[in-house]
Amino acid sequence: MSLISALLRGVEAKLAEVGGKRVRSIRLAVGLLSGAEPDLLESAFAVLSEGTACEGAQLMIRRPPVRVRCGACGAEVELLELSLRCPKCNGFDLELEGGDELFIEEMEVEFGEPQHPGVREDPEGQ
Amino acid sequence: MESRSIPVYEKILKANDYVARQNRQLFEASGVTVVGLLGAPGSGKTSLLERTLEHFTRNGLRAAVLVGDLATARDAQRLARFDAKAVQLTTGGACHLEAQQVHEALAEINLADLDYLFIENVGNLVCPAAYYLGEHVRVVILSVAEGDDKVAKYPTIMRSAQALVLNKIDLLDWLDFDERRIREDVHALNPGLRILRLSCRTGTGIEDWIEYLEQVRGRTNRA
Repeated sequence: MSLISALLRGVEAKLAEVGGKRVRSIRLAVGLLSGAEPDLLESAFAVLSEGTACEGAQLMIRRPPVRVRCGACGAEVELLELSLRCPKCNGFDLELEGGDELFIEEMEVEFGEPQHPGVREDPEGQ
Repeated sequence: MESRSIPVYEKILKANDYVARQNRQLFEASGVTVVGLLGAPGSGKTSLLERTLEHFTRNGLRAAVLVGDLATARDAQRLARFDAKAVQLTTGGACHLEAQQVHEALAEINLADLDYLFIENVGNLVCPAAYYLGEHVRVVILSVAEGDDKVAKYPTIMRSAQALVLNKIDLLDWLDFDERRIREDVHALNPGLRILRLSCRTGTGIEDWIEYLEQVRGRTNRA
């Protein structure tokens, strides 16, 4: 839940920064080792985005695998879970290169109708 | 309607990390050593603090404690008998502390008067891992009654910590707890993780824990 509140705050700040109106989709990278669960993120997003500029936006969650580099044999391997030994040489000296990401990668923003001064009716003006 | 893709590439917890770094600067500026304590409910976080504060009170060391709890002030009450300020942070149901809560609580504490500040997180081995608070070291407490598979099962938090306290070792004779398994998993996940064995009930190993705290203080003060 609080990951999603942090996400919404981050996305809304970005939306204001680029002058957008609504968010159509958000792409996240949630690594297999990050400790976050996509299903839970999605249900929290559905609840918390209600009434915000993100309401109805599509949440796309990419799940980068665990990437390790073996300090002994130099192999770079992708794993589906954190293995404790290098699958190539069985060594222990693994360095984590990826899989713990919790990133907002990209968002698709709607900007509303292009503004044409003078063409639009403005009830307040004139 | 016009729409465009905007590249972001920001950490979701960017704001938390930012406040955590501010906390850290405050800690550095006032020369206080800050220890984050994490562990499952019942692993012995508060008991370890009781033992620690007993020692500190006897030896004239000054400490304060921030205690995260879902809804009650019980942990802070347990610690109130010591000569150390305890501030309860009630998270209102949230399963972890965030840097901002710690930041606000610091207003109630005079950091410059302290040797140590302990931040006891909510009992949980998952969510607190992602929320850095600004602490100098992170200590995970695992009671041996929880089982010898817990290091492998919670890799994220184990990787984020600097020390692992194995508590309740007085119970080892009654459990099928294979300490070798813990050591192997630690070796594979986070070889630098310091393992400390103790029992808060009997007091065994508490002096090693105190010595560890002194080492951490030595390192943080050198800067």
